[in-house]
Amino acid sequence: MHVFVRNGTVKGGVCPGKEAVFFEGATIEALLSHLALSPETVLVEKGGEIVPEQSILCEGDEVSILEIISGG
Amino acid sequence: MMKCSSCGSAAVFHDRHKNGSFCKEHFFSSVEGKFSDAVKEFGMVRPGDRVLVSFSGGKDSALALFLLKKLLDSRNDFKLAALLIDEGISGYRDRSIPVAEDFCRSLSVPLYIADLKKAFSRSVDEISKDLDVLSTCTFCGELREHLGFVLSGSMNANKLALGFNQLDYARHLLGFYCFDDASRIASINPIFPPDGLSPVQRILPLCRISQKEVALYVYLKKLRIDPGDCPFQAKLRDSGRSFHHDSARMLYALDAKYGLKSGMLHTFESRVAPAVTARFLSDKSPERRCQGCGSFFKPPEKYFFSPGLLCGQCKGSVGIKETFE
Repeated sequence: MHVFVRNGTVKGGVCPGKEAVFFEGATIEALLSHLALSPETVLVEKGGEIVPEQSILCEGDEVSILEIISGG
Repeated sequence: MMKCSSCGSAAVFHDRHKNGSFCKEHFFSSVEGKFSDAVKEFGMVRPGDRVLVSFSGGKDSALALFLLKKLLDSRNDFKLAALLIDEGISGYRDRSIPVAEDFCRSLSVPLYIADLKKAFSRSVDEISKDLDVLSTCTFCGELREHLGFVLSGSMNANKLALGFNQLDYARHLLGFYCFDDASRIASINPIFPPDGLSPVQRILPLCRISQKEVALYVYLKKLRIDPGDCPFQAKLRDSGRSFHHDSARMLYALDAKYGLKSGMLHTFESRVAPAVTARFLSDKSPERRCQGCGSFFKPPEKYFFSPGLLCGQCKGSVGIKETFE
């Protein structure tokens, strides 16, 4: 499957630009695993709404991955 | 589309441990319930308390303050204020203080700002010139913790609330084990010290709420938090030498499979904490007490200040004259 990913942070919002990502699977959890991201460290938006990582993705979907930045 | 297990609306969060999904409103209720349960379970806020929230402007302390204000509105039997410690980090605090002031104003909670340099003679920027980034962050945390405690006492607060979420709670506990800091294991209890030992008790009202739940609540509620990042914390993340971040990665993995509350934290609270607290209480070493406020916390390195001098003068020396009436 391939989707388009926008990156950003919970504090700062989404950065400009998006990248195509090809991965095995059909869920946001699989996408995060492919990107070596823990679901606990990000919020994911699809269609402008926050969705759980168990949500199903479709070919060509666009998602925003917002990193949760914690202290030092 | 995933649906809320309670009402069938679009879900925003799935709790893998409860195997339930939550829409926005039920997610808010779930987080607020975890907060209320922790406050009740540990007796964190009692009638007549004067609660000072250690407020950095970030997501965790913002949520702690927001939920305590909600609790205050429903009970109206305690007092609430926020304390922000200006560490003297250029390009960071000068930007975040106005955000913190706006946030507290929006909640109608008084905000007091203390100057770390006035208390310890040196700002964190100045301290950082002699230390590497890891030592700077560690030292800054120690100084802020100690100053928060001292000021709580001098401001006549009897509870100091920290915005430690469940991950912070677990990784501090793990850190004390890893660094053989057994003397402090008791201090990570969600309420500490036990009743009657100190004028001020430190409380962790977010100890049952995961980091992700904190971030999601703040994001969905559109709470205005500091958009910046501490430059030292950013450097520490990039350095690859941060126990804070390394332990988080490990705990995420453990939590996903086994759960922190049902595993590590439950064992600590039910088995370890009673034993280490009893041992702590039997240790009467005078250096374990802050000279100024009498709290049971070991002051940080004595190189930077004389504990007696600091605590005796802290009320005037850091620019805060107000107290809870």
